[in-house]
Amino acid sequence: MENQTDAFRREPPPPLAQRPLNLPTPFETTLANGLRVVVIEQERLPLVSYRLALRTGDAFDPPALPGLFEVLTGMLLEGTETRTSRQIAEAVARYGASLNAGASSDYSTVAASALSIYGGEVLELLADVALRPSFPEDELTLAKVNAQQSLIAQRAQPSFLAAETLSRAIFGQHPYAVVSATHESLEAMTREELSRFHRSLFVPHNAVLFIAGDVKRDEVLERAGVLFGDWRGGKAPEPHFTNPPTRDERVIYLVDRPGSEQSNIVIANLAITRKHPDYFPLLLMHTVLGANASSRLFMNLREEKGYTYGAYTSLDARRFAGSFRATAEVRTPVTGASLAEFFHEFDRIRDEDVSEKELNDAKAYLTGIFPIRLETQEGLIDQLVRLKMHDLPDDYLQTYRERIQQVGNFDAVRQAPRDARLRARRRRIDRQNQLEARQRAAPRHRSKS
Amino acid sequence: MLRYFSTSFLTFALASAFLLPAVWAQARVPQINYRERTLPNGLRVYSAQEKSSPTVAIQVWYKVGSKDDPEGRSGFAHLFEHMMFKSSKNLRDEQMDRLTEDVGGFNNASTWDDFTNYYEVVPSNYLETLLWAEADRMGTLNVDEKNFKSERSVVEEEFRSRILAPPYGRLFYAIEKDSFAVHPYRRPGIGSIEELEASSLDDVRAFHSTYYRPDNATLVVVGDFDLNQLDTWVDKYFGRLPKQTKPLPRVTVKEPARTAERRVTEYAPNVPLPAVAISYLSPPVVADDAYALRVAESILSSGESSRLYQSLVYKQQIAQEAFANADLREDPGLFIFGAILASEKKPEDAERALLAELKRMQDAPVSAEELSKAINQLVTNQLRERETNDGKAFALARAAVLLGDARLVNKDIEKLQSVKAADIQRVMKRYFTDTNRVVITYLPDSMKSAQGKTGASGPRLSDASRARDAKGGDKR
Repeated sequence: MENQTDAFRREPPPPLAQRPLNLPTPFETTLANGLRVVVIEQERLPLVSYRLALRTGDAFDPPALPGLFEVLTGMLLEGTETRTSRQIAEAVARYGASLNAGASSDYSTVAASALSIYGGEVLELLADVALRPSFPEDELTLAKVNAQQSLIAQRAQPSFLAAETLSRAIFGQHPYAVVSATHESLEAMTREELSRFHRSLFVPHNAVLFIAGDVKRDEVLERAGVLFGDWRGGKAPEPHFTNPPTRDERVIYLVDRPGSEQSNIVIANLAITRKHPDYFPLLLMHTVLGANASSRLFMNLREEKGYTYGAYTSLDARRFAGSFRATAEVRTPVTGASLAEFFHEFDRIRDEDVSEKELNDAKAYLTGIFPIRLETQEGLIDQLVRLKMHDLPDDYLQTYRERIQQVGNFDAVRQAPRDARLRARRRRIDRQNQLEARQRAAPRHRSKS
Repeated sequence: MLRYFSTSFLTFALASAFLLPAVWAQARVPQINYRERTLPNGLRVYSAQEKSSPTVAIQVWYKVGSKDDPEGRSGFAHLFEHMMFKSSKNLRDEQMDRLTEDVGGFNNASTWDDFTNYYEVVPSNYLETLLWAEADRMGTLNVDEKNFKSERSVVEEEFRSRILAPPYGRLFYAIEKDSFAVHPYRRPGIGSIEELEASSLDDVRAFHSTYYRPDNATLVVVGDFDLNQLDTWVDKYFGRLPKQTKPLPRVTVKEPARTAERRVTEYAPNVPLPAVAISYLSPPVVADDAYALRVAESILSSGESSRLYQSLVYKQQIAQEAFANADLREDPGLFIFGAILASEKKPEDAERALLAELKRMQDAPVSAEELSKAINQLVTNQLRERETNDGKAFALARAAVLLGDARLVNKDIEKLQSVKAADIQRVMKRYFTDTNRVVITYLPDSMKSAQGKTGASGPRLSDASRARDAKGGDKR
């Protein structure tokens, strides 16, 4: 059409300045028993979301019982002192609500959401499953059978086998080395063990209750006081974790999986904790190098070379330690060529400046995706949980985009994978060793909705 | 039922939640305050400000869907949707992905029976960029033979992975094909390999000039932006697209009322267990009865406490899965029930059990608890959708384009809340009659010789289905 020749149509118009993030200010208080409560009043929709977060996760499993915490959080929804599993499910359905529980290595959560007119009932339900689980014998038997099945399914996945070996290599005697339950640990778990563990770690001093949505602060705090005020418990034990090993040379682990069509490559090193001052520079380096389909690794290994469906990096910054990983599943014959490209990209980002455009693109991506993730109550609570569980500063969400913008080129480059220069040494893990390796089910989310 | 819309409602609800049986309460529904404009070239524009997040959702809905596939070109509207991600005069191939994903946002499109929608979410400072892009592909489309053929292969793969590969993919094709006698809804939305192969670059150009014009489009913008700037940009990028004068072709075929039960047997390879599906011709989506039908659908099939699950799966163990789907459309659509059988069970047992559940819904009103549960679930889902700018934009566009009246976006949830048990019983009696029934028995190929040659043949490469998710045939 002739009008389309207008000159102004030729190039995309540039963006305006970012608009401010109008986040509601959370109100925070502490109950007499030590439970912290964070309330965000948001009246735009008649909905409410709750999340009880405890600073205790898979890393706190007893060494002899890997997977205990995962089974425990799943079992919260399977019965309380006054409700059966079925009664819990029916109550959730009746209110059109959702209720779920899950654990990661650093913390665990029990979450519920509903129409705000049922806010009181659903908070009571959350308190009941979190504080008074009964771990019924028959439900535990069923949960253990299911966990055994999923362990078998996981062990068939090459990505699981790679993650298992890698975590052991990176974290050594630190609990992050363990990525799943074992058949033996599942077998050994008892009702008594779950109850004991629940009593010692599900304690108010260790927990934060988040409430976001269509609530009146005073009323919901009063309600929280009634439901959680009697919750008693001592201090959760302080973690004493062995430090992960330091590394001074490159080591190659081979996990033999006969019949595989592809090689799973994982290249990793110990990195930083979530609170480390280098977090933002490293986040930008990760975005430039491998976070998404516009990053260098993807452009090289997939778009240019066609070795793989996708090549990415992951920034795994946890409370006590962290790792940085680069991964790809490649056609077996190009395994060596793929490794060469990975190391080429590591050298390049370490030795050369990142172009101004690449750095700005990475900043645009990170500052852009952030408010989109915060649009929902659940998204907002996700971020607040992270903030509280990692002891990040209170202005963290408000200043997140500025912190991204402030990272300079030198800072980003400085974070390049240092491992790449180390001399190579090969270590072979044979199939037998690999099967004897410690096993533990990956974090899984149980839910009723 | 109690309903409250006053501002003092919150206090009351919180207090009352602990005193009264909660099932009797109803959630307050906030209104979406939108503005409406129509440009001289016919483009309708709806916008709503939402300052809670510095993001914006942009959606362009075209009133053209699978029912408008040209004769002998079933699947074409969906194939065409893919072509809209190729270049236009000023937009490079796949540049839409760069303009959205690279700034942390996303984009996609889906083809439905009655419309096709294109949508993006980006930080709101990129609004002008996306208006530029959407206007460019509304005004022009640069397609070449190479692009067209490669995208056609992508769609053919989509057909294979959605229809041919899954064991029950062909069942959903069969439901549509066997349920309509004359209306174009009977043609598969995802098309057939043969008709897709028969399509040409000329078809693409003709489709764009016939349907992708301002007076057949609706632009919806929801998020944190300046209203005056929006108007300026809309005038700048969309306002100069020329007004079209040729009449828009519309489907006028009317599906006649059914007069007798119809029974069909379909066969397909790799079907582990037989299935049964029963369809009834339903009223159009704008009909008042649609609300009661949506609540009935939920009571029958939503979750493990639903009637079909409790009866067929849990108690009788006739089926491993049972479903109900109110597939309501602009023209009369379908209400579908079905079950995938449990091992060793017979299709006639499942059919009998499904029909018995329908009869229960006709013979007695549903209980207050069941009604309240279903409404709570439906209303919660609708409100959760409206938490995001994208969800709000979808609700607004759906009302404006599919329901033909944007004001309905602010009545939809209340109408669901006001459905009574008697309404459900009435619609169950009205539509679920013996003569309005098509029964499809879906069997593995291996049973073909044993059963003899009855009914229609199963779909092969030439016939496809639209096994669609709730949002229609997505681009990827």
